[in-house]
Amino acid sequence: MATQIAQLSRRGLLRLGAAAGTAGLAATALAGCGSGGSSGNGNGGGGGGGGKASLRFVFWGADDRVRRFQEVADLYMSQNPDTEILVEFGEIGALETQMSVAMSAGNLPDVFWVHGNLFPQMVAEGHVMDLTEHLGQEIKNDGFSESVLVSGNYDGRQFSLPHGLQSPCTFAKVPVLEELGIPIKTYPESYSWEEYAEYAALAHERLGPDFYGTDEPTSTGYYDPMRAWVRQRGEEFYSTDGDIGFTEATLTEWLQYWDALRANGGAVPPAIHRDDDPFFQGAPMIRNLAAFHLRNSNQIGELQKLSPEELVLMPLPGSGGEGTDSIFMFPNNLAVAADTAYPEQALHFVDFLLNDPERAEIVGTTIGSPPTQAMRDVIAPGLDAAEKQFLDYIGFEVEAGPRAMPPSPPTSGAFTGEMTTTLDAWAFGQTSIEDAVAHIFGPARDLLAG
Amino acid sequence: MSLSPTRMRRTARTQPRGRPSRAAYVFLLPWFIGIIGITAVPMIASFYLSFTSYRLGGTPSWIGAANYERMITDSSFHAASLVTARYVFISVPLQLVFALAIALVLNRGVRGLPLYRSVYYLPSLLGGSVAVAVLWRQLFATDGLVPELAGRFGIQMGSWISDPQHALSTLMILNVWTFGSPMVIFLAGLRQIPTELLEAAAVDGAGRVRRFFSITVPLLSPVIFFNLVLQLIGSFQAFTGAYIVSSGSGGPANSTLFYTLYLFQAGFQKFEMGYASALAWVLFAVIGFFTALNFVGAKYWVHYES
Repeated sequence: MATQIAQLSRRGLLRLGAAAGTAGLAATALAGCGSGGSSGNGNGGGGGGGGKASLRFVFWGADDRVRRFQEVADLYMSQNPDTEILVEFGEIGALETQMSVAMSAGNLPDVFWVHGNLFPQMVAEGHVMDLTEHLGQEIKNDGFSESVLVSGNYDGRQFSLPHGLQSPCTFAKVPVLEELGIPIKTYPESYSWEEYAEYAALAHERLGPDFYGTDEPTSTGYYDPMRAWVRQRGEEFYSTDGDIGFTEATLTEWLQYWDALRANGGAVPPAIHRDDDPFFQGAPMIRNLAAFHLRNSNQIGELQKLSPEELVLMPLPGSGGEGTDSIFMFPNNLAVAADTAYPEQALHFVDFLLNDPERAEIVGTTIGSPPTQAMRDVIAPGLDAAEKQFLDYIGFEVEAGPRAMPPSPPTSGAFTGEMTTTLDAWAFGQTSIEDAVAHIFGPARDLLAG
Repeated sequence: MSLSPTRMRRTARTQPRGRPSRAAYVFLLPWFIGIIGITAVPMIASFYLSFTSYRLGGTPSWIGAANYERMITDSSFHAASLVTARYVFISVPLQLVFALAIALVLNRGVRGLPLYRSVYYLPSLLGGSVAVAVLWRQLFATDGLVPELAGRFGIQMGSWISDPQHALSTLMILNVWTFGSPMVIFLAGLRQIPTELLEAAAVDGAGRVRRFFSITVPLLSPVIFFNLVLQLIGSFQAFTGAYIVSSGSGGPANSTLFYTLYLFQAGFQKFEMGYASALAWVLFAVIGFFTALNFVGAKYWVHYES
């Protein structure tokens, strides 16, 4: 052996190393895109009968949520010693990739929060259990109104259930509003989009040059404000047949609105906005760069902890007054894998997650508001002022009875991804509104067709 | 139980000369399983999928070369290719020059050489990690250390991370910073250059620059070639830095949309696995082309001793 090594010339060694590097490194990318053959179903090990049922429960979130859900799992296991709950969690983006691969491999967890982008495809391809017949049976559904169930409903069948309600809103710094004489408007009222633009520009004019009115939700991949904009005009983000549900004129007006705000300092410039992750601690409002922040209402508690100034939670512009019909929610939805080895236990666990008062108290509002008034009443006494604001906010939206919203098509992730890339280029001045709209209604729209 | 010399010879003869024993294959079995199951089969599958329309979780349907034809008109593909080309062809030469310069300094008999070598090598181990990418984001953000230091010298540079003109530069700097790995190889190569050649040249009146270009570089050329090939391949496949710095978007305005990041987006964000497979095979072909080009070109500038 030693002789063989000695016979390898320096030249040969170098060539061997280079060739091995070529093959090995390049193969990594190629192998990553193969299906890798079939994978076993992670649920299949135990079978349905006999022994201890083992349920994988997957959700997204940070430390606080993980700690609370582990406590919930411990509580459930103490009450149901024949069932083991394996808690798995991750950051929402990373988890989406993980779940998409699990879906492809037939290895979905037994009970899981389902990503909005993946849900349509999961339903279309039969990866999630149809829960319709189990409602009112294994899963109690008293107090679940139509408006909260709609996000998990496809063609009249219920494939997921709301676990925590959340919806888009407008956050604002109270001292800034007071200093500038800007009124606080909560449900049933809200700012109009014109008022919002006026107040945002005023914030920059009076407190600038390094302070702006609002962050700009055009190119960050957060489309709820735009969805509100189109719904308030009687249109939808997606049509019932899975196409774009808004017109080119509506999109053009939306982009012109933000162009104008960027020009007068009402909106944070893209370069500053994108300097950090634009949500949570990286949000311009939290970085003390802006007066307003458009994001999900359940974040009020966390944002308030990050902000030295008092924050207020208000409706999205245009969603109050005559616009309550356009309100919409995107709850964190619970689903059950269609091929779970323990369907009975999985449904029982889902019922516990939705309807157990002790569970509700442990989790609080960290995942959003409980979907039923009964559970909201259970947790209300233990909440701080910010969380109570949120509960009132959600309570109004649930009661408002907004019009139904068509579900996202299975290809929605590809479409919004392309749209984000396009609008990113527009935000940085690399393309015009006309070209951006043409691209979205051209190549991006083609992605919706699959 | 000792074997007689006769029996030992017989035993030895039954083993054909130069043919490995079965035991060797048994020990190699885990590797064979790995190379077939984790690399070869997925590679073959991805080649097939590259000719199909295949959404993750769905059923592939044959579409011929449509995925490859799509790249001709795909503006994001063009952007990703351009960004990657700029990254590779600017940062790799810079990294190698930097690595060679540091290796030359360390080769001058610096006291505490092992410590310096380890310190300089460390970024190579950390450079591709998420932690360093996060740190990089912090360093070049508006209120980061780099703009802060530049500000003290009167240079107002703002955030490079969120500026489409400069975002890619930060990733190039990150790549150059991970010069430790080629540096260690350069250092090993420099140590093999016979000092008598350099001394003889010095006696003949050759200056430092002449000695460097006429003796050091030619004798080091196999090592330069080795580093060049490896770094080129690695840079074509760079991913982590761009993914973290741009939060997975390749932004701002596609300025950090590395090819691998676009491939990842196609596969795992848009779930277009057929197209992602085609992208992967194009990358494979491009890397293969440049590696082959290197080998062909090597005949003209790489000098081997024997």
